Amino acid sequence: MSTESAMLAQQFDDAAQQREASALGMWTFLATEALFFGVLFAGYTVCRVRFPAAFAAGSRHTDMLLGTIETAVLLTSSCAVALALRDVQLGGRRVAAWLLVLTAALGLSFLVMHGFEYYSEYREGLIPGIRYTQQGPLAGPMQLFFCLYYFITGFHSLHVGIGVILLLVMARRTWRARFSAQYYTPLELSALYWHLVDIVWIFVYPLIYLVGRAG
Amino acid sequence: MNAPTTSASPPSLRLHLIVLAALLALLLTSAGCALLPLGVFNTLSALGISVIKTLLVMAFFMRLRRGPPLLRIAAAVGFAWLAVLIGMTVADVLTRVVLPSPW
Repeated sequence: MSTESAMLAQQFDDAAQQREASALGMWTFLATEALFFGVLFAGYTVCRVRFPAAFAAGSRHTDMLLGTIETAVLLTSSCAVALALRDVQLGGRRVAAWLLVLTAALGLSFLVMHGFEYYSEYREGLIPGIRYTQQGPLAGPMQLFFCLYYFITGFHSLHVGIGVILLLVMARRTWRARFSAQYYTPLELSALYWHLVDIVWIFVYPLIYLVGRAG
Repeated sequence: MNAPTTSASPPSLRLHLIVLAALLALLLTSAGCALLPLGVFNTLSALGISVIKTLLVMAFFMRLRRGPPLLRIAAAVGFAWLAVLIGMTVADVLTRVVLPSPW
């Protein structure tokens, strides 16, 4: 219990209260994150209602197979970080640290796959303002789709990058036995952040990759 | 000072893997549905499956199912604000009629 009392800030009655306050703060932050991405999704909705055909055409230019694999990778990584937290809660250390490294590796592989996607879009001339070689009546409004695509996926990748660094820091701390079955709040909050990154992608996937695929 | 930081024992390994399997199955379902010509239901099924996946992640991986009520309210409020943001935006866009210029 010594680590627990050493970690207890003086404004809290006990560790449970401190932990709940930290989690509440994290959930409040996650709400602001949801609204941050929500603005981009709202902009997407407005533009898609106005130009449905251009959004379907734009979506058909994205790589559906790679998008599906990226989604599976993020879902799996979410499960891995949840299992890492579980292991620490049960008093584990090594397995948890390796699960965190696995989560970070999956996040990194997501970023690499996205890098390949961006590169092939550059080669196809699908980046408005930098290299955009599309022709035809839908080429104009399709730029809106691609602008939103780069903003949404770009900010999401930024979050994945921050998450990877955070997870590696947590893996190091877990390995060094900074957490125990009594105290694991930073790890829990990092896991919550990673799950939010996953949830954002759960909505990015159908809105970017799955439009206009039928027929 | 004896209060443990855990309010309940963590969910089992089996439950985690079942939820992951369900998430991956839903992912394949949404990819499959996208390839079928369902009209407006393409969008609706894709978003509906995303909502189910989000609820699974929040309930089991983020542990809101057995979480303190305060956290569940905080999480719900975030999404409530999001619904207001997108709902009101869409309500405006979908109900506005483009008026032709009179001259």
